[in-house]
Amino acid sequence: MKLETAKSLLLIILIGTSLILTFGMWNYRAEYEPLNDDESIDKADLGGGQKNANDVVKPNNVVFKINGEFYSYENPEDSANLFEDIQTWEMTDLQSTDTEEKTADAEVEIIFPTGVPLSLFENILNTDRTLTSNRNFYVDRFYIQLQEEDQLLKVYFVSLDGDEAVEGTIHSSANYEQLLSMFSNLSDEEYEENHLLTETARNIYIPVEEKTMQSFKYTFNTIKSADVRNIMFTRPNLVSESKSGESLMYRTDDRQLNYTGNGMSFINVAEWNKEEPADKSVFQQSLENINEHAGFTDDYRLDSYTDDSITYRLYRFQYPVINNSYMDLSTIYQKWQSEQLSEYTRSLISLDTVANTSSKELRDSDEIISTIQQNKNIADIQDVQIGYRLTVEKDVNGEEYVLLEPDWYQRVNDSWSVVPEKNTGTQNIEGGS
Amino acid sequence: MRWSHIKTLFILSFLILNGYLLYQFISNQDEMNIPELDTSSMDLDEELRDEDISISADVDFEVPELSYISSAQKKFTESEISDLNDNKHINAEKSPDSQLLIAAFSSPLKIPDNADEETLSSLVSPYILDSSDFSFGAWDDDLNIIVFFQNKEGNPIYLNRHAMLTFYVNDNNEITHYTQTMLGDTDPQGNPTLNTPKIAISSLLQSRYLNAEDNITDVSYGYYSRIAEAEEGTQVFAPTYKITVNGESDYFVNAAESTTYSGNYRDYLVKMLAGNYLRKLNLMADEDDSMADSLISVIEDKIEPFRSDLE
Repeated sequence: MKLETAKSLLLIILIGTSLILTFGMWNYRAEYEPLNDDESIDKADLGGGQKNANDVVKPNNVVFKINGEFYSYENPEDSANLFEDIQTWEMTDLQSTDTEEKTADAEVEIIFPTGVPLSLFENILNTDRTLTSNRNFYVDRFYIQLQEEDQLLKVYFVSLDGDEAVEGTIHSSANYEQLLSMFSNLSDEEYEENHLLTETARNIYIPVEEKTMQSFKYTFNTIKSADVRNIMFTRPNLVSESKSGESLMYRTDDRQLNYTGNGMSFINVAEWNKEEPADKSVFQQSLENINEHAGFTDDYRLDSYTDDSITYRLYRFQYPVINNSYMDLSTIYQKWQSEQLSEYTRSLISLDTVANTSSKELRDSDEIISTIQQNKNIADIQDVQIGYRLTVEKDVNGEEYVLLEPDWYQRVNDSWSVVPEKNTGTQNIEGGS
Repeated sequence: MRWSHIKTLFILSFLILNGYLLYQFISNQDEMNIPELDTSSMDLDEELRDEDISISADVDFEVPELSYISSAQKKFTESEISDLNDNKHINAEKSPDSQLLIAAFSSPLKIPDNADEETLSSLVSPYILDSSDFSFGAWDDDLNIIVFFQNKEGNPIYLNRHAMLTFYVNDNNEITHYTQTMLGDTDPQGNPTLNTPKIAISSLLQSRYLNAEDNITDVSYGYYSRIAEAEEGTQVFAPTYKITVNGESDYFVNAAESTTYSGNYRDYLVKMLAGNYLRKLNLMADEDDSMADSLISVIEDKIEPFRSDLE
């Protein structure tokens, strides 16, 4: 009997220790947690959506070319929808081809705001293999030609320097038919005729018909300074804050954030790793960085692409928005040095509701074309577009609002400015970036 | 009887289970107990050996308790300038914004041969405002300029044009002029945990500033700021290790965030003189200030050969 009591006791002890051990293993992690930096605080974000290359690389013109005539959709929404369709079309048989111009009776030209490496298109088009391994193959547009004999579509990418070309094929009669039917309906109301400018830096198409568009008054919100500070500084308690007038300056030993005029400008001179080659492209890094703090607060699209910097521009109703104030309120600009964000300048406003609209008759396209053609520096003009001028104004009650006014814009040196009025002796030198 | 058998079976199986749990528990503990810092310093010793880098400096001193500090520039007062001018060996003036003090020796001050830091300090201190706030920083042979750094909270502010005494030495080893800038009162900013000197060296290694056969000859600490463009307004200074390699090049490693910078004194001084001091001096020279005029030509001569490096 004594043995049995001892066994029971032993069993109870064994069950007890196994429970203690199990419990101990579960809880061990908890002690490990506080090793994390307790000084970091909850990450703020700017409340925008997550975007990928697909959402920010979009054409700003789609032109139908047939028998030396040029047409485009009157409503840019339709162009955007068409491009979304094209993105799903399966492109196969991708291969390098000679750069000789290939003509076809009917061709669609899809034009983007800026030149980007061709490899980027692998992410936004439906291709079955890599387009190119050449990092210096930049394109700002591509062409889709209708091949009547084979009932298929040929796609061409020609590098900006004209040295290289890649072609692909869309073997779908449905896609072919879709484009063909558009070409046969170009006289419909939804299309408009375009004028082609070739003396400019690149081919520019300008819609011929006179346009009346809407101006919009918006109420708007500005992101709070503390939110921006908490995003840009990993340890906000180390930041010194100074104020002069309306503008706030946050500073540490190597970072500086200026919060002013509804925008911000941030610089970081820290050097972490010298000469570390970046695996990711600057574009990819900037997308990830901005998504991290939900910084795409509106329809921002890729506007300029260089080896170390990226600019995104605000679009409204498919038209670019241009602001020429000291703090550019229509763009997000990032500059990277190896894997480090060294400059970040951006608008902090988000448009809220439309308070008021009014009609505005745009200048006649003939006038625009002749102004462009008389420009001595016509060879530097990269683009001509209808855009919205964004200005922050005050109403009679002192309330601030944003005014979006349509106008003709030209792009020179990657910077947008109003196409100068005719017969004004001096050129309008309003500049944006 | 049957219950007794079951009990035996239970005891056996629990023994096995406990053995397994104990083993898991201990291996878990081992895995997590190794503090990260230990591994990195172990790695450091190994890495340094691999790279053939030696440390002759004392790196086992206690981690200093420094906070970030912020400070704005001091403005020199008229009375400070006139106090200096009471010394008949020098003439002193201040720039229109009162932030830059310039002084000329009526007869150049001879630096003894083989002067060490202490000799230099005691040599110049009779001629300088708040000389006890400054300590020797560097002597740049190319420019022939000696700089002293201002101390704040007992530690030097490294290489900052707003907190520096600059002596202009001529070819005969004589000081002809000096300029002075100072920071005002400091505010503590934040108090982060600082890294050990060894971790600072490891960041330097990771930033690829160290080469084979390098010797780390000195490690000291003070404050450093990279953003200095603002004329007015506050600068923030981070607790920073100054690591001297081979007795000649200095590197600055932020003691909290491990950012690393090479302390290129010559480049910094040329930029500082060309971009900032000369501009202020030119303003003074416009007022027919002969001392400013002569100092401008001294500085121009010194930086002329290196100006193009800046482009």
